[in-house]
Amino acid sequence: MFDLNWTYANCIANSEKIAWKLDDIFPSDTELDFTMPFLPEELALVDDIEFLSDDEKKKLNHISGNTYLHLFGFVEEYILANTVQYANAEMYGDRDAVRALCRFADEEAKHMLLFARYRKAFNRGFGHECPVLESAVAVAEVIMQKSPVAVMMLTLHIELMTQQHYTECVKDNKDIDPLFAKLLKCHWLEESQHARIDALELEKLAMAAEPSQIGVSVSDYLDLLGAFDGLLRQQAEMDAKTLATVTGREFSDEQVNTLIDSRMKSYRKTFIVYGMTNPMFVKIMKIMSDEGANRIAENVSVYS
Amino acid sequence: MSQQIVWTKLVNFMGPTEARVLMGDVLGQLGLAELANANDRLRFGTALIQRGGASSMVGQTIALQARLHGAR
Repeated sequence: MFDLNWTYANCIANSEKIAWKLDDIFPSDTELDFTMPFLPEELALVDDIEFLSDDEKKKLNHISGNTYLHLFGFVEEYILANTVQYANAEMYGDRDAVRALCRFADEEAKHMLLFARYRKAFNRGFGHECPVLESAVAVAEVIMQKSPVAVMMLTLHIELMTQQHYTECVKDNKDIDPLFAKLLKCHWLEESQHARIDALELEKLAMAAEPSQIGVSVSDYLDLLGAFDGLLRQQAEMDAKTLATVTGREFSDEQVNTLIDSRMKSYRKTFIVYGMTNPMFVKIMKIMSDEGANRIAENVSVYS
Repeated sequence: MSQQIVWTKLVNFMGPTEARVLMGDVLGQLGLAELANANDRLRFGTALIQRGGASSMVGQTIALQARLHGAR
């Protein structure tokens, strides 16, 4: 159906080849270097905020980098639960699928620990604990109540956008902190296999679904993006307040709104638009449903 | 395809001889000639869960997979 040129067995072989250990990449006592930006400017979008000094822009970049990794850990909570569920569903069936899904789940749990370690190191070195969204489990429950096809669409969206972030913005970027770039590289390496497994799972779900179920799933997927957008706004407001606290500046209402708008623009581009417009995601959506793919494309402007 | 998914699980779980007996027995209990779709698989898995013991282990994975494939 999707004409995919990989299998669960390929994904396992690649996963074994690229696997890394948490302690090798980020020992618990790692200290971060705050002299360089963390996030590439293509994602952080801080340079155009005219009322911030260069040092304040760098601080906002660091805050946004911390948010970026936290939000991955946040969504990985549901991805882990979902993947374990799919591994259970494959029990006694396709053994390669079970193995690939179990490795996928193990790697997601490892990423969550990596990002938790990173955030501890961030708070130690930054000198201020940045508030972040805390309702990951509650959000995971909401997501898991949507149709299985929609949940898998969202997971594919997330895994594919991760790859684009690395390949288009981080790889060979000499302007950002090398350790942060290394974290994103390690994340990307394993997520690239996850995206392939997602596509295999989504293909099976789509083949079993009636056309009307695909239509409902597209609506569910768009609803989930809308709900996620609301969470991004909460995080954007927290990040604007954090910047005021760590710089000791009293921003005017207009400046606060500019800061929040800039964070929304950054987070929407990073977490929503990249996924919705990813070429492979668009291709798969078109195969599943032309009408559904068009609805998704029409909704991109809501977040751009 | 639905029948094949369940058949593979049963064979991997208990071997072809016992799988054939169990498949025939549960299909008869449900009044089905074959498993044609995800809803049939859900009924089949639920029937195995109700039998308890080892059958419930394979029943749970059959029912879960059927739900993920759209069964209600």
